[in-house]
Amino acid sequence: MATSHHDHEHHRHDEPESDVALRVKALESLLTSKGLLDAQALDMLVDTYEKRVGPRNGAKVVARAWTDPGFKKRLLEDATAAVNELGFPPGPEGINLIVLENTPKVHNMVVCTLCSCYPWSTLGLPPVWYKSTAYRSRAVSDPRGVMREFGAELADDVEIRVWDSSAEVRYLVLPERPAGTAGMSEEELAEIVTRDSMIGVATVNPPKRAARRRRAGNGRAEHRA
Amino acid sequence: MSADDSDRKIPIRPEEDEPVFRTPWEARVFSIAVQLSRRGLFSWEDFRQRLIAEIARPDANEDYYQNWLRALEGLLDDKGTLIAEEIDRELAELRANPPAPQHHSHEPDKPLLVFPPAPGSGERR
Repeated sequence: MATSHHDHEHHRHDEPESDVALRVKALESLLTSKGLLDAQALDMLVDTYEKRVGPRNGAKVVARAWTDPGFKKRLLEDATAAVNELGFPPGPEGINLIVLENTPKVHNMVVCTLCSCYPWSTLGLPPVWYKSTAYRSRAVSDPRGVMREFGAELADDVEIRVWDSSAEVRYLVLPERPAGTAGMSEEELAEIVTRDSMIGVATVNPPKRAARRRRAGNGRAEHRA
Repeated sequence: MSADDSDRKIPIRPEEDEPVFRTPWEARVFSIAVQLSRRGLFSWEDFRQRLIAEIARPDANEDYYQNWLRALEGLLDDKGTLIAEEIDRELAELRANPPAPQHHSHEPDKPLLVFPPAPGSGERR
């Protein structure tokens, strides 16, 4: 096996990478010899969170809610059950999911002020910034400033509600469907929904290509029956 | 209203195309905690409280999965599942006999472990 090194540049911590890796190895080997761990199941878990679960799941939920009023109603009433309809793997325990709907007057933003609680089944594992001290403190002191860093500017008359994830509850933001997307299918809509919009640090932008097509077609792509 | 303006100065720094796990050990320590909890060795809430405490420690670093590892070790030690001395002993063992690469390595283009030279090696007195 080639001896390439891991990229060390982004690590700021106190223990060398190799020491931590070896410590985890020791932990795994001890737990396995005690019969408490199953290496194959560990591989499957890693595979699930690296490949099968991620923000694309949440994007499907959002696109379904945008196109299916019955589903949206169920989602807002009991998100855990509604998301189960789509068959995504569950999070760590029976944790309740709550979907927060953005409107022209109310914008929702989600944080975990104490650690890193996050809706695994719909968004996968949280990005590094979500777990950072910077985000955990600024989401509650300067949410508009946070959004600006993600390229979103909210009008002054929009109320921002910041929600703190907890042991019992995880939140998923249902962003506003952008204008000019009326002709798009559920699958096309899912493609424009970003992870950051479902955390509530950003909004969903209309796709550039669709905007161009609409201009060229003089609004014919819009279906207004 | 918050009088603390220092918070406002810390940038969030989102990364493009960030990997789910930065290293194989992060993936491993994550899934070990999840599996042990699913097998009933501890509740997820027990683990979460530990993680919160590690993150809140005044000397905590920003490396999330190192905090995760400390939380897990502390919890297992408390429960008597795995005492700290056992880990230290196993660690010494592994240092003396480095493990062969595992067939379930997640990144075939990367080594399972990297052992940098000890500080001052090569100029031993």
